Amino acid sequence: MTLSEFLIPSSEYAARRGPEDVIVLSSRARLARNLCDSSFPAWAKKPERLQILKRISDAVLSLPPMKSCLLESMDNLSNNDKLALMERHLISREHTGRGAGSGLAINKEENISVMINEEDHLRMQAILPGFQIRKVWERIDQLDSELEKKIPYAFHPDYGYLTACPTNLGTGIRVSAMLHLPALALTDQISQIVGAVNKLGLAVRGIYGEGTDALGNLFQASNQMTLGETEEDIVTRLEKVIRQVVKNEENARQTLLEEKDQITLLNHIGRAWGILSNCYTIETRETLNLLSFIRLGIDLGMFPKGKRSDLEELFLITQRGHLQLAAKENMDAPQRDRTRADILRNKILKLEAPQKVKLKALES
Amino acid sequence: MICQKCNKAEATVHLTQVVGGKSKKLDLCSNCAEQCGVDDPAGFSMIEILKKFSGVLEPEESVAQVVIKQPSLRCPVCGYTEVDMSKTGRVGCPSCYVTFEKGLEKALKTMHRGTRHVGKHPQHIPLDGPPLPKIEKEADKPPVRKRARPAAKKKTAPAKEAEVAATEQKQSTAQEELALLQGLLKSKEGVLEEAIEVENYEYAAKVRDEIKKLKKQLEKLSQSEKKDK
Repeated sequence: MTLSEFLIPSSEYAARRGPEDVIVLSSRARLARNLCDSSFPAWAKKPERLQILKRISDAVLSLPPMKSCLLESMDNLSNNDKLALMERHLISREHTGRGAGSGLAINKEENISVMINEEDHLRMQAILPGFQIRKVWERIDQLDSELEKKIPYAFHPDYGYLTACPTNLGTGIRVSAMLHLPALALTDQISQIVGAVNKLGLAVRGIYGEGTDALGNLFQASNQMTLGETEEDIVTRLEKVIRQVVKNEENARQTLLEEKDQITLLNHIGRAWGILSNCYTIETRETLNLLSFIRLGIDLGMFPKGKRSDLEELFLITQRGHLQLAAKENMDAPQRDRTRADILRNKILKLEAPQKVKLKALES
Repeated sequence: MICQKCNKAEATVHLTQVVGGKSKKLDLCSNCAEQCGVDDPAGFSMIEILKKFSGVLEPEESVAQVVIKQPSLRCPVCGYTEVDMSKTGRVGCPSCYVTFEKGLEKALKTMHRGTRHVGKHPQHIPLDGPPLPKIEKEADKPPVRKRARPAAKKKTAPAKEAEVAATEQKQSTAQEELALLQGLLKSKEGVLEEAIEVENYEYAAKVRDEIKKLKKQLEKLSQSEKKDK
């Protein structure tokens, strides 16, 4: 089975909803684990890595939740496959660069993925739409507890789970939430908020994690420290902080709505609509930034005809991997920009220009 | 400008090299330059020249250079060294946490909320158990990483053998470092290509700078290896 056959169709994928998903698009928890008797992937030689891959793959396949999963060696996946997986946040940017000796397992629902021989022997994550940080932690905790019966983990009573990079040592956990914060950006509060969150020992990153920029007003908030705290404490703290950020974003949205004639909102959302519905060639960066405002417009009710799921789908299918997988060919950048523009123009035009919203309707 | 070595002739060769993080300038006449072997830009190290006359190089700088040359702490299980660690920020295998415990403890303090694990643990490993499964010494088992150590050399006299082993170890460390850097460079180049393709130019610029740095390191390393030979 090829990856495109396995993956949930984009329209279906985009229609998935979760609690409080207006601002918190998705929640993720990942655990880093290693075998006690092998060198870490970056230091292990290829034969050793292949052996590790085999051992872990067998163990993963024997777990009930992963029974009908897709298990692939990274060299069996095309570049477009890898990109599409990254765009769905099932693998990291780092993992897209791996080949033979590294692998990947995803379950049918696409909410559990296991990366084998990424930076660590084992990186497993649970991802769910909306604000469900505790739930994703519980899910991955369960999988981990099953897996520890099959694989001898590298564990030290003082240092906890041993990882290739000491920054992941201890619990090996990274819980994160993808936040859409356009109103905080429009009201120039975003750097302040990011600073405050950083001070609490949490990291704020761009859309694809480490080393990526904040495109489309999307921010990934996660814990940074993994040692000296229980998983429970880490999850609780992140939950609290995110709740606070969400509240700030909601307030900022309200402030913008109460502004005279909703001028800032209409200006940005209207311009975004204007460009997207009239473009003939457009890059990813601009697309993500403009779609962010369309999403905000839909959230606020400025596009009566707009559906959230249509927008989520646009986010997905205009990105490079999905674009090329759908076209079944590799395109050069100008060609991609034109195809992207064609998709966007038609869909966004159907939304019709944004309208001012009545405040009363919003209070309900 | 007068030559800094003979203090007589007019300096015609002007060198700049970064030593110990500071850039050092050296002005030589053509004669002295030739004596120091400066005519081949790839085949000399300024630090060696600087060592030859006092005043230009401060004592602690030369010391710092020597410290790096000393064989660093090496993990008995996987062969990872402290130098590797400081370069990559990672460790080689689970046992490295025991080998490099001292150096790591300090780093952990700055990275984390505490230095002791208090979270989940595997059911079958009690929290008060022994640190790690027994570590096999390198002598007990074949080395995990192959080292260039031809069997024929074993026939040399015992005293010499130790000496040979020492220099070999030094060489293999340098070779490993070289291989590591080359590997790193290759992967970074892949990342750069990827970043450009997905039009993430900001990230690409960052990676490009990292690559430049790596290339410089590589050059430096291969130079010093040439000199060793």
